[in-house]
Amino acid sequence: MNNSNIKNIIICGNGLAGVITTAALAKALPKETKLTLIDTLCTHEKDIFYGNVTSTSTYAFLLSLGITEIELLTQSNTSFSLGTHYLDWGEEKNSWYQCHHQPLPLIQGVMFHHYLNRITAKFPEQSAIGPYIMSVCAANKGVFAHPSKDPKNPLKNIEYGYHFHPAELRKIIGRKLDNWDINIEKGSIKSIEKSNGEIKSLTLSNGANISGDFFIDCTQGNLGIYDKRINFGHNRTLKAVENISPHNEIIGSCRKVHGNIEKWKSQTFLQDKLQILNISEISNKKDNDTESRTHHSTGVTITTGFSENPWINNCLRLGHSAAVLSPLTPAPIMLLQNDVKRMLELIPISHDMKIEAKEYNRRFTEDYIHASTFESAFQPAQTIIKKESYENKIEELIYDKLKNKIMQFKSRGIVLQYDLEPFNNEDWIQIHLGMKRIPKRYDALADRLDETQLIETLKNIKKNNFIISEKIPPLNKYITGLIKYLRKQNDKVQSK
Amino acid sequence: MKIEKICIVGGGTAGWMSAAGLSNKFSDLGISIELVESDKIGTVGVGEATLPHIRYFNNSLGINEKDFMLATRATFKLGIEFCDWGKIGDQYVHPFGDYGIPIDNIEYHHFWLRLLQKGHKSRLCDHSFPVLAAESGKFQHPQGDNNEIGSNFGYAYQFDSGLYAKFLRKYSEARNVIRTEGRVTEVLQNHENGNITSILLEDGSTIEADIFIDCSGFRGLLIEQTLKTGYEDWSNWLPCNKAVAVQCEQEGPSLPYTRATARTAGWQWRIPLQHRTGNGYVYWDKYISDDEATHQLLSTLEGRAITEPKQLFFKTGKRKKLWQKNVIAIGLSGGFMEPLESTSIHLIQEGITSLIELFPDKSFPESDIEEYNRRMNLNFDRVRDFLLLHYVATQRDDSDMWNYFRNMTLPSSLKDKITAWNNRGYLTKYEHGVFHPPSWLAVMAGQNLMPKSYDIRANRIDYNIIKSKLDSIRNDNRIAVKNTPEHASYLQEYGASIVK
Repeated sequence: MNNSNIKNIIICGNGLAGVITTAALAKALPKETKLTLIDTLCTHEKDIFYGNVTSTSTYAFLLSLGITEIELLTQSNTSFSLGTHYLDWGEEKNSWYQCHHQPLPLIQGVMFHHYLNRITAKFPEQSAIGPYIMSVCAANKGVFAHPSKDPKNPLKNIEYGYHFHPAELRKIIGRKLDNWDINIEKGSIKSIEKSNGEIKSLTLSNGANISGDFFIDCTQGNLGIYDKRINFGHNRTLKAVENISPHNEIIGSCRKVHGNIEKWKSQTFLQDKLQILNISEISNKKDNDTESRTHHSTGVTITTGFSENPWINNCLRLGHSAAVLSPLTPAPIMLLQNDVKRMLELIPISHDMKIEAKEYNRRFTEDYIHASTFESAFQPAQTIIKKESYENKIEELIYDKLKNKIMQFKSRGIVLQYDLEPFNNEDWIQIHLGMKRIPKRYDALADRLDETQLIETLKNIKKNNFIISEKIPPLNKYITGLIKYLRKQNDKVQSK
Repeated sequence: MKIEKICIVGGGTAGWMSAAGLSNKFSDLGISIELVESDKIGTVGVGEATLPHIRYFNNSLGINEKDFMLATRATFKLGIEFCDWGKIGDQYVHPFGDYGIPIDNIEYHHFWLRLLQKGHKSRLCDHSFPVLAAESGKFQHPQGDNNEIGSNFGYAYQFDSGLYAKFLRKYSEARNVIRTEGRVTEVLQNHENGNITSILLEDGSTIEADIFIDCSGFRGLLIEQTLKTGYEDWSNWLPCNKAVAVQCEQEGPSLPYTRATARTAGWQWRIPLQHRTGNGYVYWDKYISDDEATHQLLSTLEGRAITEPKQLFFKTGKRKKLWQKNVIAIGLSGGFMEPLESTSIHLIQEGITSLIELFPDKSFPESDIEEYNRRMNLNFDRVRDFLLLHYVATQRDDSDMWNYFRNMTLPSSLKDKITAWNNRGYLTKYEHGVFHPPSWLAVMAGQNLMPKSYDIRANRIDYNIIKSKLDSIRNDNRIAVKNTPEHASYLQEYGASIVK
């Protein structure tokens, strides 16, 4: 009972990307399809570049892999995340909260931020967007609660992701794989047997010869079936230095990031630990740049960018072998999830995979262009608009889109959206305003609302958000309470 | 500097929809609106059938559905029935709604394909409530819970567009839109920037305005005749270039769907309203004479003709820029595509809502114009691909026209979509555009493009479980349709029927 000729899928590499891919396939595929995960005996230190904050889609994604929120909270030091607080960012020293949130209210069909722009001259104290965003109010106080189902409760607008550590997440998923009896081979790759450009089998250091129909390369590119010249859209070498320390202080519900796009530092509150991540860009010039040379020895380095053709013949590169994004935003883990979902929709069904590869590569490229557009938006608008020379076509595309987005927003507060972008309107509004891109005009229709009524409406939203953020508990208290509660529930079910 | 005056040139469907949409939003902002039309110039009255989006338009105007339906003799519409498209004798309905519901996040149709390939055959249509309801001539509004069968579908209307224009005229005039009767004899431009400053009418009067909406029909009085914007000709993709339309008496109860029947040199529409049926034959004059087309149309009417056949000719395509300087082309002046999927009024609506969102000031910032044109181009392009799909997803080879399509090199965007579908039932998605995966599925499956395979994940669930799940959905649909009232009696009961 199978419509497919693909009986044997080999996942190479058991870093975060590898275990996620394997788990997703194990959950999705019919039992007849054989999965083999190869533990290539590498360290997974580069997984640190998946960052430490997820997007809001991670809850559902992990659930689809069979990982519940309670497992995540009890089996790792994962914590809830409302977003990131960027502090003294860039030369302009901008500070703002970039939080997960439901769409801001439309008032008489007009997007919310236009009203703030309308009143900014007369009521400057009312015109900052933060207090109107429930998750920003909660993040500001370090408190947290799950979204409410009550339509009158401002908490209905909250959305959340997680603060996580890639190594811990990898371990949880790894344990699942052990429980599911996934076939795991241990050994580094000694040789790759190919014919007609297709991989036929891999010979491992343990002597095993693993043959397969479809190979997913979740290493740093060890399968090497493809042209190695990865066309990087936004080509930078980053170095990460991590520092994890226990903490006793009240933990925050929002990651903190200081610095600028070339050199920044994040503080992420995990359940019991504080993770500090220092990311710096290393100059590509091999001149007398002593600083970069001296620091080269410590930390982990990686080059950002992405391939345009991650899927060639019967080999799909997924994870860092295909793309590396800066962990400045939740993009790395968001897009890794997207890669897996896209792969699942296109699991090949015959040895001719050209159609699947073409569609995967098309969607992949669009997705990474859009994510890179968002990341690039962390530079001052002037730098972006003045930029004229590009390393390649992809970079030009990224900047074209970004320039249009900034132009539209600065001109009249339009949030220009392309097809199926990973970052939504709220993400873009927050970053534009955070980076002080203030629209010159606002939607003419925002003038239709009576001023007193408008101020009243705004004050009410602010007040309600404030009241709730005073009521809900600090994040650590919330998690402890939640775990206790869920355990009790669980015991009750068991005793019945 | 704020715009103070809008002038709309032309008073057909596009003109009065624009007047209504703009006056609803701008008349209390101190912007005056004047619409110029001439009783001497007939209107084309594009597409009498609509898409569900029209309900948002009407809602935003605060229009009461019953009032609107009574005034325009409207019927409800659940979709479009396509006859003889895949091959002669075929029939399917493209509904406003999904087929089934995803199972384990996998699109429903993959399970349908799985059963099909194992010999358990069922029409895709049987998995859709709106299709079955349409085929049985039944209708009721979607009820409360959106997740239940009989509730999660969309609907639109079939109406008399001339009466709709009148209805909106009343609406607009109540919001201070000034209607001026007269023919435009001259258009004056600013010498420096080329913007249109005013138009002169036959009686010697002048209308000055800051912004002009060109709703003058195919000729594009302002956008083309004055501004020479240029036209993107799409007749190599969609070569039908003429239509003949006639109204006839209705035999039997009015039906909640539009019909499009493929012919040897084009296709024929049938749109049932409350009091009559609209009919038309869209054709390529290279392969059929006007007389023969008219003859074919008249000989296939279901009731006595009540109007003289009206001849129309057109060139499929769109204006190179729908917004140029201070002129926005809305309606036929902006572009035309045959009404195979009832997109004409929808594109008017998109034009109006985008203009409202991007409404400029007197400086006409280039960024507003660019964004408007970008959005509208995307809308037009994607409709074009979807229309073309109907002509190329076919096994017909019984005439020169069908052979033309069989030998056509497709736009790559369309070709890739069809290939991915044929190979594995994969539906390519986009976010911005009218037609989403269920629509593509309806047409491709309805016109016998049957994929070689399907998403292998659909094999994970036990065959018998899937079979009983799909059987029960079909069954639930049948029961839901049984409990749905007849369309005509529902119209009456609802209070929207002119027949009491």
